[in-house]
Amino acid sequence: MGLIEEALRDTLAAQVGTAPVVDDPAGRAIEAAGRFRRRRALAGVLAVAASVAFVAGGVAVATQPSHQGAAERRPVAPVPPPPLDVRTGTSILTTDGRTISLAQRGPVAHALRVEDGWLVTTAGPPGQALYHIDDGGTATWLTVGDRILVAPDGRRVAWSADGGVWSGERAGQKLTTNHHTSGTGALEPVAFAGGGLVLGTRKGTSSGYDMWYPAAGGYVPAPRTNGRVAAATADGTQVFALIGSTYPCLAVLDPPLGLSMVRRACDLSLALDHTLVPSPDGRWLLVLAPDRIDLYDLGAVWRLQAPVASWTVVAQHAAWLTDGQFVLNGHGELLRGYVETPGRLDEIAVGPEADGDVIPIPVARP
Amino acid sequence: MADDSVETEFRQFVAARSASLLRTAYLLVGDWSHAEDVLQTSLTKTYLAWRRLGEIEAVEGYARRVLVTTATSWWRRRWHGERPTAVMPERPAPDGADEHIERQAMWRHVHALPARQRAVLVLRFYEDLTESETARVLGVSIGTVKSQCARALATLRVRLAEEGVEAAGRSRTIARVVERRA
Repeated sequence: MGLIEEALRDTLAAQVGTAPVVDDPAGRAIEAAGRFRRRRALAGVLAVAASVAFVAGGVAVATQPSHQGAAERRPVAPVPPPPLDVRTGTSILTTDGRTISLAQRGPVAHALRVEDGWLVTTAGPPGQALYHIDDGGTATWLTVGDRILVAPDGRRVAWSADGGVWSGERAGQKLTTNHHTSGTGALEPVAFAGGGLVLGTRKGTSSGYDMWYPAAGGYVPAPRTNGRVAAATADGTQVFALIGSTYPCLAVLDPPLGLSMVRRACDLSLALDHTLVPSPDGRWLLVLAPDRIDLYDLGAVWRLQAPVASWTVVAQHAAWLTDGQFVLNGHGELLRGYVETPGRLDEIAVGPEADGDVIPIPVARP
Repeated sequence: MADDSVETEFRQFVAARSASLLRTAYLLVGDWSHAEDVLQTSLTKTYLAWRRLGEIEAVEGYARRVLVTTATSWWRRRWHGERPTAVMPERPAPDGADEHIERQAMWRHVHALPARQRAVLVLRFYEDLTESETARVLGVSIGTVKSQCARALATLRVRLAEEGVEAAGRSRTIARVVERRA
């Protein structure tokens, strides 16, 4: 062992020589856990009470038995609407307190808030279907496909079927098919990137990605990648990929250059199945791992080789409210996080209409 | 499992492990008060997860992982990257105080490292974990542990040398080379 390592061992051992005695850490942890559980339970009770009050007469009061046995009316704070629309098992809960039922459409795979409603992709055994749901809850079928991809602007749509890919433009409740392409293998849309589309290609056991520029008609073949194209910024100028198999690197790919790698960071805790959610301005990147959420500063990660914040939160979905605030469905609840104060993670109460996991719905950014 | 037995098992676990976890937390965050907060946060999360963790080996691993993740997040929250270190005071140390001063210099520079690098050093050289155990706790590859460790040690060498402190052949600690700065 080298001298610096020996010196380091001595230093670390000496540094902790005078540890303070902590008063009943187990008891404090049990108390804190109890408070956490009670807070969650209370949030549920308040939500139910508020709902009952709304149904009864549109007034935010609930009845509780007093110690004399008579009922008295006490004000109960209603659960405020979420700061962005959310979807649950079979419905959308809106920011203005309405519930839009999706029960007849099947399980929702993706939803996007657009100017006149929502674009909802459902997943069923025959494949996916895309609907426009207007503000009154009326659904208009737009298209079906093996895989449907809606651009963050809510205007461009691409879908695959029979091995080929179609692209089109949506205006209101109408989807116009503009372009089609097919190859020798199976194709599917993966991400919108500027004026192009990242296509996943599969032929036999070989798979990879290509860029397709529908307006220009042709492909830009990309080098074979041992990894996964995971996300793109809302404006499509940056495409993020996880390159490698066991411990992949985070990479930025350049669409006009056939998805060639521009930069990468490899000393990160990433896996191919992690979900990447870039902020609208492309400054931040949320990485959803099975046991934690990491926040990366995309201006610094290449130098730091580390996230700027981590939370031990289990979340499968995230959406950005603004360039600096995001919402997670952590631990089955809705949580709001802030890039400037990463220690803060606020719980957002959601009403009892939530009949399953509560998933934030991103807002289209034209 | 009844609540009472969960609580009893948890109390036994904390009695056996909390002092060690607190020392590790201190080395990760550099402050006893923050270390206590990190310990409490980690123990609370561990207690909440106790039922699904099951085996005590799983509890140990979980508690350590939560502690390191919480500590590195806390640290980042405060410092957001590397922290500049103060310049070593230019005064000769009395006999017997050298070792203390040298350790303080080393500690200041360890504390100024990026969170993940410091976590690697603490797990490798204080907790005596192997590279693969360290990789498992941090959720990174063994290659990353190696590269972070090498980078951290190289940084320490450079910064100690800049201060006139370097590893000395006959000392188990580090010797201050006052002449280099004269």
